[in-house]
Amino acid sequence: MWRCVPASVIGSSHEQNGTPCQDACEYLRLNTGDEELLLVAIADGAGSAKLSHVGSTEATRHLLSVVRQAQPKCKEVTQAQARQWMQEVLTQLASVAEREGTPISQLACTLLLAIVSKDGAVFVQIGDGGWVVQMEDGIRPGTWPQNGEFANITTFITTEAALDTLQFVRLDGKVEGFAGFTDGLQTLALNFGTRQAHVPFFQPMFDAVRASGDETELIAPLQGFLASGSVTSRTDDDKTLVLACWREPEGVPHEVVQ
Amino acid sequence: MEQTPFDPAKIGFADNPEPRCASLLILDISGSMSGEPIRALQEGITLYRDELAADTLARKRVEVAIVTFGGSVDVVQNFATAESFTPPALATRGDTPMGEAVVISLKLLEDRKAEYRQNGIQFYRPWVFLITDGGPTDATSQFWTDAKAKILQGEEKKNFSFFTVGVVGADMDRLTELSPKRAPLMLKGLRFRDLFQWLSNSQQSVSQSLPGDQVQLTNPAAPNGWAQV
Repeated sequence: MWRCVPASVIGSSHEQNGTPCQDACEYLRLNTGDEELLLVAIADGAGSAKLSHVGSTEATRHLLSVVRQAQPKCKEVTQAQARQWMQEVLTQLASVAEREGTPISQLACTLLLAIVSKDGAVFVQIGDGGWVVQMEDGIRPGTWPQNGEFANITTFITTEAALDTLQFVRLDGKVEGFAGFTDGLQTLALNFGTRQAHVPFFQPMFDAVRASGDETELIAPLQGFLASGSVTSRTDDDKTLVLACWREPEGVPHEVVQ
Repeated sequence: MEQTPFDPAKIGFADNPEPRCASLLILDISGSMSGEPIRALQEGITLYRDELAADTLARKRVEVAIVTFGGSVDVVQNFATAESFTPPALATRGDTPMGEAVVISLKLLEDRKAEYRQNGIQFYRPWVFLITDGGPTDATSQFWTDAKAKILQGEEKKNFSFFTVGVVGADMDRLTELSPKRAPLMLKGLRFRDLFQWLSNSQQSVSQSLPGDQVQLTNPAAPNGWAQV
């Protein structure tokens, strides 16, 4: 089964200026009979958009609901389908915007989706943040943050033609674990010069999830880490980190790797 | 103290370069700037460096380059953060090869952006400030034509923000001709200090900004501002 540890923590800049945490994350396990999937959605609301914390929460919730209804098979998900799901999220945000009496731009957020089985993964995103995957041959990026030309610009799902910028990555092979994060963590977790995942960041994370008895007990410690001085001295943005590891069910013969 | 499974001491953080905010100053040091004007400009630049150096983020992120034009065009300071540059001493001489200065400066900027890209360094939209108290003495040259074209292209593609500032005596029509998309600003007297204070404040805000933030710049032509209406 999939073990998932999600954490979103407000950044010090928002704490100081009274803005709520604009990051959101959600996951669900989906057993389609054929395979056990883990679906994860992450969103990061635009800083100056007044209701982007509502946008990010609605976007992640609705995206998972839409994907679950589609009952996807990991190997058969297409880019067109992913685009369609994103479109449905946009439609939902438009109706929330109407309800709130506000332009949809006030709900702007990035949006990331993972659909993962033990034999493969599909990663989708609009905007920055990213997905990293642990496969048999090591830990590497799934998607890469899309920042637009300048450091303080990214694409939000509400940006014009955002759907044309959709990143869609499919990986085939044994998936041992994966992680998703918003841009608050990307400069700590990725090496931009080499375009690689920073293994010393992710390895201990995956090890901790794998070694735990009950992974829900890791949520508070992970939040604590994201709020710790070592992290906040490097980034004052809201931070989200979702960790996931596959564990073979008990009683199924498997290789013991020391 | 309970041991956390996520001990920051045991987790490695990637060491990425800071995102950069390139700030390119193109300065008229022709003969007419002699005396008070050049002294005030010099003081303004020192203030600028000091303000940037005093801000924990800006001093690592804002990179300043200075190109002077007076007789010749000289790159007196290539891009360097406030932590590592000393404002060069400015001495006046010669005429005003403004077009050539712009062409050389924008090439310097493009080269720096290429380095950023090659090294995976993120950057904010660069700032370019041209300050002059006169008009170009190379307005009939290819340099002037090229300068106008490059500024237009750069502004249209949002490659940089190009500001022109006239000091008393400046040919404002020529500045409008050079950069039509952005109205030139006339400095109040010799208030370079206020100009550079505004510039460092603005760049400090940009240095801290995150995607989706709106950086509000105070209007230079507001009543307390450094520019005349």
